[in-house]
Amino acid sequence: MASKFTVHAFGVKHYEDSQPLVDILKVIEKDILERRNRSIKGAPVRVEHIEYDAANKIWYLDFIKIRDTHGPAKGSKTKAVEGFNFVGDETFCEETALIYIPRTNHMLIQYNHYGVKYSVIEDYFSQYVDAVNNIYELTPKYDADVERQFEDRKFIKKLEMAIDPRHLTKEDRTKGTAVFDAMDIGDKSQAVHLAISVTASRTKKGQLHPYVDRTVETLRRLHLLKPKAVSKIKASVVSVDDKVIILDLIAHRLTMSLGDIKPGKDKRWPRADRYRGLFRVMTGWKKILK
Amino acid sequence: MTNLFWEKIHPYAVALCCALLWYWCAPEFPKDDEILSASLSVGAILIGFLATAKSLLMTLDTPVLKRLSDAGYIKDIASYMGEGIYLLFVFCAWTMLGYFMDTSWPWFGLSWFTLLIASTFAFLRVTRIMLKLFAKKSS
Repeated sequence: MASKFTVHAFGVKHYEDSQPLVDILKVIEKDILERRNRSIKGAPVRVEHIEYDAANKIWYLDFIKIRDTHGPAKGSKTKAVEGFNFVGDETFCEETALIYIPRTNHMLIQYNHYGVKYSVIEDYFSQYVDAVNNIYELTPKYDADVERQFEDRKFIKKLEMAIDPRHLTKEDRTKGTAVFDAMDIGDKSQAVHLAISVTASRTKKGQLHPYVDRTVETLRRLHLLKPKAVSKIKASVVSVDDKVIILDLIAHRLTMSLGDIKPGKDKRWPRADRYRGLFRVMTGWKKILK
Repeated sequence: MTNLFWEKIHPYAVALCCALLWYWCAPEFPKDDEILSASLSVGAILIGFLATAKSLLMTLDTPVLKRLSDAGYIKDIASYMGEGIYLLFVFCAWTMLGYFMDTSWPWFGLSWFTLLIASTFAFLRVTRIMLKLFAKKSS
């Protein structure tokens, strides 16, 4: 069974003194392929293809992550497996396409388990131009259904949360924490990890004080700012029809999977099809990505 | 003033204060060449140390370095190392110049002392960070 083409949505945030991301994309577009190579988190990464769609005012990008470890072989049920014939320094490359929408500052990224992840994309753009101190951050968007169910709740019955109150982020640097002090932040030996569970009484009408609602809002805002600082927000809410629903307010990411994108003869998803898939998802999310 | 800003400028700020002190006290620069050769040796050793530290940093893969890298601090560490190396280079070059010129010229001593202080504090800044990195290797 062919795997599905999955897309995740992210909001793009850049810190005050950073250049607009579009400026970086224009620099990348002008650079030749070899000059786009960067080593991010120890892996060679580059933007393989970049294109501005003037009609829809969006950017299409295709990232590759060069796999410098072993890879798969080719074969079939009737034919013995054999390796690929690579020439020179060629090796396997993992492709990850994305769409950037400058108007709303959103990015739709193809999910590739072995490809570049959003944190690598953040670093790639942040480090692309050496001379300027750019910092970009991608924040995941959440499932609209979960949002709606949470908004329509009658009250919260139970709330579970896990917080790491001192996780080092780019914000610490922006605020001016020195390198010497930054090394202590998030240190295992000094880490404080709080896991809290607040439950209402077992009676049918037992509910948590509305103050908890504000706690949820604060935690969600904190999670958007520092995703690693809040690792869990799970709420058991009572819906308008008196049903108890458990909502994971972090895990339910805005995701869409397409099953009709077929691999080509070379068993890769063609770039044009991946771009088309991303565009379809973007069209479907038009109301959400405002 | 943030801690990061102070961390970035303190070698220069301290050097400036020491330069003013030197200017005010106006001490005489030693006449013989021994201080110049000793300064050159120390400068060269420290440049060697920083170059080694730079290579070590490139091969280090520790959780604390990953956290620093994710938070955008790796550029600062690289720039501290670069500043340390360049300041020591300029210090050595200025010291070498002392063999060919009259070291009793007041501005020679003043510049030499300013560079000495700036490069020392730039070197100490990298040393402190590297030592802390090694101490926190596994955390």
